[in-house]
Formats: sequence, C-alpha cells, structure tokens
Amino acid sequence: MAVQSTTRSGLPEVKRPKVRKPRIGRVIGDSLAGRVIRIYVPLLLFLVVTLFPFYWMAITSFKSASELFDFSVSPLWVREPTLAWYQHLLTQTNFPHWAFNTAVVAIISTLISLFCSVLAGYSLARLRYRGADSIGWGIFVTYLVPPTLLFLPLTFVIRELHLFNNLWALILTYPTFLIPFCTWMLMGFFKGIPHELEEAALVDGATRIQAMLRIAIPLAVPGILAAALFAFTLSWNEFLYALIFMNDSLVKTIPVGVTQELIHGDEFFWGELMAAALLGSVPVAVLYSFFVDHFVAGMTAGAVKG
Amino acid sequence: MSQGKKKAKTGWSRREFLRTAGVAVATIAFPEIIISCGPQSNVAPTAAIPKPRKGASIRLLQWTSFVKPADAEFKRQAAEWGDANGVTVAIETVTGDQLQPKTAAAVEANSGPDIIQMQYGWPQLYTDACLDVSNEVNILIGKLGKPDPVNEAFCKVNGTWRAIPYTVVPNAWTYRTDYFTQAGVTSFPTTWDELAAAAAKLKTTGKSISQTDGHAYGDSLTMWNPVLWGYGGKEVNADGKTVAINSKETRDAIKWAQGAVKAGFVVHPEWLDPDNNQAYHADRISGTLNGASIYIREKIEFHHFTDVTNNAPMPAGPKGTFAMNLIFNHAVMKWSPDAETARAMLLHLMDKDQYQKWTMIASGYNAGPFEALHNDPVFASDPKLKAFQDVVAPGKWPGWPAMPSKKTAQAQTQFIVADMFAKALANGGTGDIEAAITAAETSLKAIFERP
Repeated sequence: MAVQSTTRSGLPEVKRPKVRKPRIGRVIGDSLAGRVIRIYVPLLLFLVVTLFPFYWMAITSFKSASELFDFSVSPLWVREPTLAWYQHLLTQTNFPHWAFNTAVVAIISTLISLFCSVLAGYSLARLRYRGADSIGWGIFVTYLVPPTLLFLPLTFVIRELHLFNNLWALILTYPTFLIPFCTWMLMGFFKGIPHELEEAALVDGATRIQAMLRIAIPLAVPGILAAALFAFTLSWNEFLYALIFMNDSLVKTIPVGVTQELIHGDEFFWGELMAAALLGSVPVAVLYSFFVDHFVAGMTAGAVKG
Repeated sequence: MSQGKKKAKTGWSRREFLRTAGVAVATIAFPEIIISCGPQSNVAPTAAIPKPRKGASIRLLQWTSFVKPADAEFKRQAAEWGDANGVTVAIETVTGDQLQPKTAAAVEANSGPDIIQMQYGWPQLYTDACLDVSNEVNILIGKLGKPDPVNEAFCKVNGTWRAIPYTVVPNAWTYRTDYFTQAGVTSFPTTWDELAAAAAKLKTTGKSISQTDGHAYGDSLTMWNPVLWGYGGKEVNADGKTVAINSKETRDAIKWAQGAVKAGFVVHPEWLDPDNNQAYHADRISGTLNGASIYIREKIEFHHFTDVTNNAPMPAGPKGTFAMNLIFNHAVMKWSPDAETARAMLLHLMDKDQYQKWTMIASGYNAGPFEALHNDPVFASDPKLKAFQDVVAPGKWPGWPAMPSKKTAQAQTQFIVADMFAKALANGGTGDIEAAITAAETSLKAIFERP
C-alpha cells in the first residue's frame, strides 16, 4: 500500500512497495564448474552404472583361468590378457551356430510380429468399430500372461505341428508375446496421427489401404522402429521357449547354448561365459546405436499420445 | 518330429510274449542251460534281455556333468553302442536347473526324449510317464548286486521300478589343510560339535568354514538335512503323513547350528551352488561342503591349492552319521516308440566295464549305485577321493524316514528345512528358534497333512 509523505520540494512522495530485485551473481549453470556439477558428474555416474557390466564382461573374458580367481590383486584390471576364451568359444563350441540361429529367429519373428502389429494397431486405433477398445485391452492383457504359464500348452501345440528341434518352433511362438506388445505400442502412435490427414487423402480418392500405406504408416515410422527394436531385443534374449523347444546343440540360440554348454554342474566357466555374453550383446548394442534417435522419439510419442 | 509319427508300443508284442514264455519254459525244463550262461546266470529267471531295433533312434536327456570329459565318454559309449546295433543315439545335456522344465514340458506334451535323467524323487512326480523297468533293474541286480537304498527309494514307486539306478554324486567336505594346521586343527572334525570348535579356531585365520543356508539346489539340502538327522530330527514320520519337525531333536540341531555360527562357522543365505566353489578357488574360505568338483577343478585346472586341499566325510551327530547326495537315475519314457531299444542301451551303459571307464574319467565326481560298483578303482586312484566314497553309505533322501513321494519332493523344492535353519541362523545365529520351527511346521502340515 502506498503511503503519502512530504518531500523537500513539497510534493507528496509516493512510497512504492519494495520489489525484490533478482539476485545479481553468477548462476551455477553458467560456469564450467556448474556444468560439471549439474551435468557431467551425474552423467558420469550414469555411464559408470550403465557400462560397468560391459566392462566387467570384457575384462573377465580376457583373464586367464588362474587370474579369474586371484583376488590378491585388483579384479578391475587384467594383468596378462588372453584370447584363449574367445578362441575356445569360437572353435570348440557351437557358438557361431547359436549366433546365426539367434539372428535368424530374431529377424524373422520381428518381421512377422511387426507386420501383424501394424495391421492390428492401425485397425484398433483408426477404424471405428464396436469392441475395438475391448480388443485393445484384451491384447494388452494377453501380453501380461507370463511365458512360464504358456510354455506347457505351447509345447503341446509344437508337438502337434512336429516342430520340436526346429527354428520354426521359435519363429512361430515368439510372436505370441511380441504381437501383443507391439500392437499395444503402435496403437498409441496411430492414435496420435491427426485423422484429417487421412480424411484428406480419402477425399482425394485414396482407398483406405492407400491412406494407411501412404499416410499413416510413414508418419508412424518412429513408432514402428521402436517396436521393431523392442521385438528384436526380446527375441534375441528369449530363454524359456528356446530351452524347451530346442534339443540339439546346432539348433540352439545364444542364451540357451551358452548356459547349457558353459555351465557344468556347480562350476561356471566364467571366461567363456563372459566372452559369449559380450559377443552376444554386440548386435543389439549396434542396432540401438543406429536407431537410438528414432527409438527415443518413438518411445516418447507413444507414451504421451497413447 | 519323427517320433511323434510313430505309435508307442503298449502291452506285449507277440515276439515279447514268445520270448518271455520260451525263457520261462526253458528255465523250468532245463535250468542247467540257464545256469551255464555265464554272466547271465545271475539274471532273475523271469528277466528278458531287451534287444535293440536296428534303425531305431534314441534320444537321452540328462544334466551336464561338471567333468566335461565324463560327458564326452558317456556320449562316446552311447555312440559306440549305437553304431554296433544300427541305432542312432543323441545325448542332450542341460544344466540341472534346466532339466526340470524340459522334463515337465515333455511330460505335458507326451513327447520328447526316449530317456530322461530323473533327479531325486522325479519318478514319484512323473510316475505315469515312466515305463516299468523292473525287468531291466532285475537284470542289473543279477549282475551287479543290490542297488543303493537311496537310488532304490527314488526309483521304486509302489513296488514298481520306474527308473534304472544310474549314479550318485557324493557330497563331502573339502578343506584347506594349511589353514587347519595354522589354526591348530590337525584333522577334519568327526562330529558336529568338533566342527563348531574347529570353526572357532579357523575364524582366527580369517578364512572361515562356510556354507550356504539359502536356496542352493544341492549344497543347502546336503548340509542341513544331515544336521537335522544327526540330532534325531525329521520332517515327517515314516508313515509320510505325520509332521514331526516340532521336536526336541530339531531344537538340538538348531541349537548346534546357532552355536557353530556364533563360534565362527559362516553361513551365506545368498550363496547358490557355484558360490562356495568360487569362494574356495578364490582363497576366501578354509572349508565347505560340496561335491568333488572343487577338488577336481583344483587338481586338473587351477593347481593353486591342490597340495593343501583334502576332503573329509560328514561329521556325526548324537544319532549317527548321515549324508545327502545328489541322486540321478534314468527313466524310459512311455511315449518312446523304441522303448525296448532304450532299455537295451541303458543296460549297456550300466555294464560294469563301461560304467567304470566312465567313472574313472569322471575323476571321483560320480559313484556307482550298485553293490559291485562300490569299490570303484577311481577312489583308490587318489586317497583324497576316499571321503566321497565314504559318504555314499550313510546317504539318505529328503523327507527321510518317510519314503520319497510327491509330498516329500514338494517339501524339498520349497527348501523348508533349509529355511528353518536360515531363520534361526539370521543375525549371527540369534534368530528365534521357536518361530523358525513353527514356520516349518506350518509349511510341512500344509503339504503332508492335507487330505
């Protein structure tokens, strides 16, 4: 509230309320030290936490048998690096076959799942028909059913199809958990694309399929890529179905082959295990590094528009 | 899958009937002919030797042995037999943890390997899926003598052999003689009380005697069941129905364990089966209970502590010496289109000469389950392995004195005994004994006393 008083000139003085001036000084973020504290230190901590498992895998895979259990020196370094585990893994086990099988299964099952999921996601998100929401929820609930419950009935199905010990057993069963996940994810993307774009295409004479192929799908590419990455990673790492349906060493995938042939009784052969884990994680890491921008964009878009 | 197209045999074929009837008639009419048939003279008179079918295909599923060359020898023997008989043989090995879901899936699908390795009481769990192999076991009894009681208890379901005894993986104590000497302990303890006293002395070296009390598939069960039995405790009475865990004997066993932990025996609830092996190889502990794998790996691979490592059998409690070992047997599955060929192959693999070639390469990790296989030369090849031979005889099974059943298997897989000890040994051996026993009793009653 302003209070009147008299000034030397006789004019009434109007007291103005004090306004706190912004503190003048160096904002911590402006300086190098500030950036270090606010950005680089947390980033470094995050990197350490994220990359340490890979570092541990790498150094363990280069340690000799005697060094692996020698805790008299720091376990964080390698004193006498050796490639013996890699040599053994690549020449004395069927690891190259396992890697090939894993890639074949992951790529084909991802493609099958994406094809089905794009159609299902588009249909559920864009076509207005009765029960679409219920079906969408149903698909999501299907994804929640754990594989530990599904593997027994699926075993029966695989037996009836005579697909035991055949990569098709995995190629056909992986979509049972990939399609629900990808469909649910893609529904969010398709819902986020303005209807007007497709309607304009329809007005211009496009058919529904043309509108989907030329308008909706190109706009949903980030989401499709994100779904593809997820599907590929889930297929690459899948364990239970590969354990149950594959028998011969030559048809196993990396997760199963490695654990079955590099763990003997209660003794773990860490050198070979870590070499296999490192080599097995490389393709997924490379894939992520190529598509990380799409992946992040896709994840964010799917999250807010769904 | 090829075997899915073939129809599994059921009942008796004409050939089987004629063969069995012929043997029976010949046995009655001309017993001297049967008696003069060399090694087969010990075969039970009604036994019919199974014959392999040329062109058959047999798949066997079992766990991956710790000793890689032992698996290779097993596969070699099977392949050699297959080549000689025109049979294609495939041996698939998986880890112990993976064997259970693969077996469950095969049983559910009524399809899969012709032969599956049965661990512990699986013949009781999968009885209907396992063919009657009494004929083959009788043949082996004729040749090799009595089977070990534990293998028999697991393989025989309601008087019928559902699996052929295959092997015992003995569990004994592996310890560092240098640390024991340093602590003033001149030999490995022979009683549980002595073990607690030794643990107190070993604590001063900084390398404790250590064992898991967590959910380790082998090491936890093989430790805490023998402690319970050694003090007279038991989960259930011999009738397999009356829960008997809430007893003075159980309290005595737990009190010993608490005293041992307070003295210096270190328990690790977080340890699984590989962890005590790794701790020993890494020079972090002075002793632990395990299969022969620690000693064998030191001997053939690491060579760090071979000279200062020795093995010892189980200590005794007031009620005697007890042990629990890993027990593996082979079942011929009902869906096998070539069950007779599978039986013939298993008989060949259990032949004494074949078997002891395998156990020699297994370096003491395995012991034979029949009388004639007890004095295996492998245990004489290295005096330090004798402890693993000695723990076979006092071996019992989870749930003892009740016979193995689905219920004892359930109690075993829930780690009820190990959990009881773990609760009482929490916080440096100061856990509530009564609460631990009550919890175990409640869990056991839910299994054994339900209608």
